[in-house]
Amino acid sequence: MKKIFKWILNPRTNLDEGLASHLSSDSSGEEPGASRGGLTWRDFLLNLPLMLGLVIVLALFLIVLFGPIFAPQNPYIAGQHIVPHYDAEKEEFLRPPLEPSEEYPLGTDRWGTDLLSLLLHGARNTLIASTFITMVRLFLGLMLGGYAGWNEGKTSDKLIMSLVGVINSIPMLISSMILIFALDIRKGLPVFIISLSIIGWTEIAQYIRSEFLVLRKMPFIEGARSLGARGLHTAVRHIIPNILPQLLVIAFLEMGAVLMLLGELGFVGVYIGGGHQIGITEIMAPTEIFTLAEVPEWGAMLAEGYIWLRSKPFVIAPPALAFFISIIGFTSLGEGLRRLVEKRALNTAFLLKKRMLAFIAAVTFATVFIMNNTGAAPWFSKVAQAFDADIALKHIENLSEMEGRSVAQGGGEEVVAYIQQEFEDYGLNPGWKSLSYIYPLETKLIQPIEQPLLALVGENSEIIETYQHQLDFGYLIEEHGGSGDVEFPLIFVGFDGSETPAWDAYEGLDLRDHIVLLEKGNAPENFATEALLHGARGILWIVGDGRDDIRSQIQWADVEERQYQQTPTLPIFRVRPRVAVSILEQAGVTRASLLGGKAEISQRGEGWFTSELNVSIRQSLDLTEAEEVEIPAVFGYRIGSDLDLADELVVVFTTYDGLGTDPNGIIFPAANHNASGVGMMLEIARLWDEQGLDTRRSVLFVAWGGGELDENGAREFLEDHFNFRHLITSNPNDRVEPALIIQLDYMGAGGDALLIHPDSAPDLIILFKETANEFELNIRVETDTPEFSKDVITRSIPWISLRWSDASVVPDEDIFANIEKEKLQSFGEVLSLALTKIVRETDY
Amino acid sequence: MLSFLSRRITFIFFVSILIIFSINLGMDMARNSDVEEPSYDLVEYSQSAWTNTRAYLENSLDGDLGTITHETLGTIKIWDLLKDSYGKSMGLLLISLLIASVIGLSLGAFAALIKNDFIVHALLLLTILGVSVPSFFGGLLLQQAELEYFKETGEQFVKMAGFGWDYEHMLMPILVLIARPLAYLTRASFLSLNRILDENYIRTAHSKGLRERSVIFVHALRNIAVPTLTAIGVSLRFSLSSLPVVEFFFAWPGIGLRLLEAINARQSTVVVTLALSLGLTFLLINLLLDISFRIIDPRLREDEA
Repeated sequence: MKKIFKWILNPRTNLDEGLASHLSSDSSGEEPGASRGGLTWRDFLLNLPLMLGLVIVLALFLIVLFGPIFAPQNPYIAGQHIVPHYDAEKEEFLRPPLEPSEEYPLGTDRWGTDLLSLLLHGARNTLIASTFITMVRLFLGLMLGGYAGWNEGKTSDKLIMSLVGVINSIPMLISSMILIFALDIRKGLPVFIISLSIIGWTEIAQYIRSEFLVLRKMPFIEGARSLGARGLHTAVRHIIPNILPQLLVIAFLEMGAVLMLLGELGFVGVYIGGGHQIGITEIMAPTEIFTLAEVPEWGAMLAEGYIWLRSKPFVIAPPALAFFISIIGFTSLGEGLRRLVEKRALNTAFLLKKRMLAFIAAVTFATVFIMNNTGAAPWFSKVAQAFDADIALKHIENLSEMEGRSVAQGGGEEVVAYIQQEFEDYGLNPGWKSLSYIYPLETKLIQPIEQPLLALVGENSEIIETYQHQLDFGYLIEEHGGSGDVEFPLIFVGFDGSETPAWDAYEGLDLRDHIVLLEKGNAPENFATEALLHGARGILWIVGDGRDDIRSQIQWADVEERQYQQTPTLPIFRVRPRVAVSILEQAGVTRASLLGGKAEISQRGEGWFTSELNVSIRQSLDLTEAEEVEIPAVFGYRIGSDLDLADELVVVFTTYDGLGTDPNGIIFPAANHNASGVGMMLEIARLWDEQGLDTRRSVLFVAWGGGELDENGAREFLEDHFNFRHLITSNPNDRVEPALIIQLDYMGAGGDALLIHPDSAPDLIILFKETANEFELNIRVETDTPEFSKDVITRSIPWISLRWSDASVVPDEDIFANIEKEKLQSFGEVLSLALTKIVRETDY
Repeated sequence: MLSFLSRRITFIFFVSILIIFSINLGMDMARNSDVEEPSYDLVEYSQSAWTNTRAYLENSLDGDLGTITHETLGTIKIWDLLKDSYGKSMGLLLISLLIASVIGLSLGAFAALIKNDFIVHALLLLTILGVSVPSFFGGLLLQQAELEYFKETGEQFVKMAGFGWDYEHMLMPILVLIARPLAYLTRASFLSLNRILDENYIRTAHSKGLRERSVIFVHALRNIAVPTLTAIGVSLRFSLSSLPVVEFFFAWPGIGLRLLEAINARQSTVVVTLALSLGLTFLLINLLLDISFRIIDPRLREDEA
């Protein structure tokens, strides 16, 4: 240890004697031990300012690095707790700022934030800012002062010194304040660094200039010049090393000066970022507008404390003391070093050695690393990691047990009550007209009375094979689709023309007493009506394997034009390809040969042909009349705290309903689609409530009914801004408008990658990609859209929809047992972090 | 001397114009920064700032700077505002500088002369603490002391804030304003006297058999006059910089407080006027100091050539 100190502090031998006369001697020269030959421990220990400064500065360094760990509270995510509460002991109502107590060692500020935590977190911002400012000042002072000194008497020297004169003539506090406002205080730290550096380099420059004036005439400089060294080379190579000790001293003294200025600026209300304005509305009182500092910082704390300067000085005392102690620390460290320098006992040549530079670089990088991992973002991550998949899982389990949650079968009421209860528990406000959590919406639905039947029958009507409703087939009620019980031979109608045949092209088509087999994509979309006109008694569409491809259509469009004179009696079923294969196997043909017209063709027209298939099909469907049914949506509203951002509404959107229960008693629990979306949403609402996250933007949690319907009105609702006009923010002049929509679905099971809907807003795609990468989760934009076919897609509002890959399964496999906790957890963390960024940061 | 004076006065004149221009520019930009999407057309700003500067110069030559609406004073002529606040600030500033100089210089000289290690070290440490006291912290300490006194006795020792030409109102602001110059001047006078006492000519004077008093007053003090005056000039900068904070703390309606109000209200003309008056004060006092240097120290007169 001693060796290291000696190495650092061994005497300079290469300095010119002439410098000694320039440097004034501070000590009275009474210490005999401190000969010029070396530095003893005595020199150190007796140098009281140096010791004091070292202790304070080291302590500050440690606080900057580790302070936040010891902070009892986290000011980055703490919200406002300004509600007065009754204190039973003191028998009085208390409202922040609260006096020091066991809970709050130093008391709280006006927002109920713990002052100790603010102080510990603020040390980082304040001290880092002043370090930056000091470094830029040193650099500017060294460059300009050195340049002026080197060119003494020339125009450049005069110009620089006149500039110094102008800047010095106005009090620094005033000029820096004007400059900060001119450059826009809202831009934060960079503006402070630029302003305080532009104003503050003059003293350093004056000092450096005078040093250059002296050193320039030194014999060793003249020697270097006479050896042919050029101006710049001489200055860098010979003068800088000689003023390095003084530069070190100046750096510490300047640090104190910068802190002093930052403190004074803070005291008069000018601090980094300038704060954001929030409005506080109390009952029977007009909204008051306050300024709330965005980042914890000592200057901002002083500004806050000034309000309570006389009545509650304990608010301003901690930051004022912190400034005082830090200024003492840096000033006395500078003074102590100056004594060493003046005894010429401090060797700073080591600062220029390569290993030292490497060491400094390493320390700097380590510091930067620690900073980066403890700013606002890491705290957001901490919130995100508090996401509890167990709770989300519990929600999903509860929802899965609700008999399929079909809006048409009464399961809907139960789930709506459940979500509303959770919203209330998590402190969300009623989101519909601020009165109710429930948004009433009605539609007309048609339900099967009997279990729908699709079967392959033999010649004597014996059933060869039956197929499962919702799994193998589903029914359609558009295009005259309706109830019926029919058993007829099957006929395939294929199309080989490049264009859709015109109405008169079907002349000669005879489908009487047949069930027609059609292939989606091959037959025209509306061919069912045409087939009915030509005598068909039932229709089978071969569709894809997507989950929603065969979903039975239960919504009776209440639009006038779709109302029929007569109740439709044509059963139209959509079947999965495997059903088609099974039927065609019985008929002895393949799908490909049918489609290609290779099978035996019975009729042919312009662009169409038919193939009689040697099988019979039974179709049975018995539907109720169209009934008015409520499909309520549940809205939970979280008011944003920021006056500027609260009018931007973040909509977290999900659907809660499932396919329900079939007449034969089969329940489709719809655990992944879409109990998982609801569970995830509820857990995020709980997380924010528990962590006390202060959301700056307003948030609307929406659980929409009718996710299994073709038209559930969600898109129209979200695009109509009038639907949000009733949502109150703290600013009565604000009109909330949806800024972005995040749709949750298929979150608990599937493949190993997250998929993003390709039409999502680019900004949001980037945000979620970055967030997922932070958690090392696979994420990609899915180019193949069928998996997303049922999403709410709005044109006017940026939105994003995410889900696990390969999440779309047949409804009977979508059960609670398939939900994976790890998937919920990893998706939950990504979602929660991204959402936290969205609701907290000005630019996400 | 005359050419020196004329050079310096020309310099002060140009600096004044630059101050008017740059503050106009800054305030223009500050006003613009307040809107949602500020523009950054520097050329345009410079042009309008230059127009404002010329208008300002013409108006000030006419002796009419116009009126402003002040929050508490109502509509008031800027000129009256300046006269009123300037007097109040300078009162504080000069009294505190005077006290700081007298006490600081004597303390420093005392420490240098008695050569007691302990006292010297203690004093130097104290001066470090002294220059490190931010004015808001000093004010806070005094306020707390006043509160304690009030709790003990039930009487106010001095007033917490406000204006008045009496010790009740002036004591606390002056004490706060004194702190840093006092520490700085003590330190500066100690250091320069201490160095001078080591010089050869002092030893020569001693060995000539001159009396201690004559050595110090004739040989030493004359030679520390220039560094001391320089230190006073630096202290003036200190004080001017913390003046707004002190006035803000004690609600002293001086130039600093009015400046802060005007900056926050974005009233360019007031800011220019008040800041310019502070700038001119600083420049003129420095000019006076420079002149006195030349009178005291003949060596400094050479650089006129």
